[in-house]
Amino acid sequence: MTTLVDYLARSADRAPDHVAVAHAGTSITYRELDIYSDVLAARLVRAGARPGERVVIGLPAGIDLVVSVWAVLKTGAAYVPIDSHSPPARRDLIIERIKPTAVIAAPHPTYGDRSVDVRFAYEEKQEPFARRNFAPGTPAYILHTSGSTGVPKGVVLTHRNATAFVDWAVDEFAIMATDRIAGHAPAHFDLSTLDLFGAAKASAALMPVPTRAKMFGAELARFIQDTKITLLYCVPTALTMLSQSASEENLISLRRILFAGEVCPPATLRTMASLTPGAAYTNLYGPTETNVCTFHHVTAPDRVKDSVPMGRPISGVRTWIEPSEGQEGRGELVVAGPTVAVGYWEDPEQTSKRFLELDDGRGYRTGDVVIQDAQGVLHFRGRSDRQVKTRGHRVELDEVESILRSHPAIEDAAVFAVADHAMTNLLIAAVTSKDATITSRQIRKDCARQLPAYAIPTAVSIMREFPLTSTGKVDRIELSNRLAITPSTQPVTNH
Amino acid sequence: MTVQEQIRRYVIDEMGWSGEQKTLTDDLDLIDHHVLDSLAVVELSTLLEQWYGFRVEATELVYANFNSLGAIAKYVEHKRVAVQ
Repeated sequence: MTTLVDYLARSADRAPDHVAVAHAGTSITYRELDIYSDVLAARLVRAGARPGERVVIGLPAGIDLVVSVWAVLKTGAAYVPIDSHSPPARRDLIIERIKPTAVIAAPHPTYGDRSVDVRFAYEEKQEPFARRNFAPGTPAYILHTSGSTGVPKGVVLTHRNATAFVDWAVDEFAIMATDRIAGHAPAHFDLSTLDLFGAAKASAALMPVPTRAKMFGAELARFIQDTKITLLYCVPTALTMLSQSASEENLISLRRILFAGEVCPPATLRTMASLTPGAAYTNLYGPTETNVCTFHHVTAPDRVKDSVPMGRPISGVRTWIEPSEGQEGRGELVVAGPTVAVGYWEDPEQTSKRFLELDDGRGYRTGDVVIQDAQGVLHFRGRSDRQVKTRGHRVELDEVESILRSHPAIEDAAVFAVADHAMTNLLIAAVTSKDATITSRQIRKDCARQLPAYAIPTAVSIMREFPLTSTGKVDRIELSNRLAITPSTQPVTNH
Repeated sequence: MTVQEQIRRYVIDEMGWSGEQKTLTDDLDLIDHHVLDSLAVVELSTLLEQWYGFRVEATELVYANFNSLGAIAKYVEHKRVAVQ
């Protein structure tokens, strides 16, 4: 049985001089990545990192981040990536719950003496690091997703969960040492695991995408051209941005484009296909809790008219539908197999609610409502709860409402998702308040202390009271009429 | 109000600028400092269209035009001249 660490060991042995990571004009080889991560691992072991422990990483995309991820994995501890620009309150909450033995990030009072400087990795004077053996069932990383109570949920994934997906992906997409993989997703987003670990397994080069190229389609197009990216894995929102400003010449090196996280607009696929005549497109599906679990190769992206199916399970994974009452062939998708996570960090209640103990491993209730066609292909039809996607990020409307309700000037809050072609969904909030001085601007500003930017409602309407139904509940239909909005009846989410 | 002032007001009021106002200088890199994210750039470009009555083309949504208050002001001036 292998662990993720074996990927790097093999590449350092078999392709020591291949570029492992290139970023902002600097690059390191697999030999260097192996040495630097050994040096940092020795320092982390001294801080207490070992199997069963956790190390938080809060670095921006780049070589330091990749070195840190491998260093933590080598100690047997799990890495917990946090957005280096997330609101301090959210960051502190995660640190408090995770109780890390070390934090690799710019120093901050919250971390105290747990701070470890990534520059240790590059010091001349090195501490020896003895390779450790640990079981594939050891936690490798914990990723945080939106939680309905206002506290982010930490999804615990093991080495086996990750290798079950990465082994399949490297084989299915024939990823090779000559590939140049764009690191588009941030480390706290699960799309990043294919970039990080797929590259290491295949001895390919990982090219983390600079911030500015993630923000502007034209910059991303130029980055792809300049660095000759062959494989791009990103959310459809990024493809939409790219399709609006790229030329065929910009994208000539791309051979495969993978997308996940939300439903891809057919128009985006058609435009992208016209700009990349030789490239292949694949839709990947899977919540963070199951890793990628189904896939669909798009056979004629230039002629796509309807939304792309979720497809079929990847090897080793089984899926089935728990039929909804009175709805034949339609219901909640359940996923089981080696890619399914252990559960939520220190949350047995939520874990037992969503995860299943099966004879052959674990299963997960996705909350995604699907149908299966005559060919056995799965199609997404909506959510069974109040989770929505906005710009590829998963947001629980309950979490946003809970944060709004905790505001001193707010009594009650209702948040709606409204379909938007560029962002998938916009979040629109209505709140009740007796405070005549509070403004929507101030509320949005206050939200920014606790919520990531994508989860802050675009607009906040302040009312004296909400319309109620005959049973005394908030009348959300009447409320949406007053706001003159049409909420997404089937919230568009596909990941 | 100058273009710089109007955009500075937008960054402070709408983008939840948490730093001291004097640190928000005309040449502070708004992208590298994560003051503006991709949604904010799209929002801001829509506002510029409303405020100044020109169209922001997709090809103009580039780092060079949106990296600082100064760069945005320069871009706006350039567009206004072109419109006239």
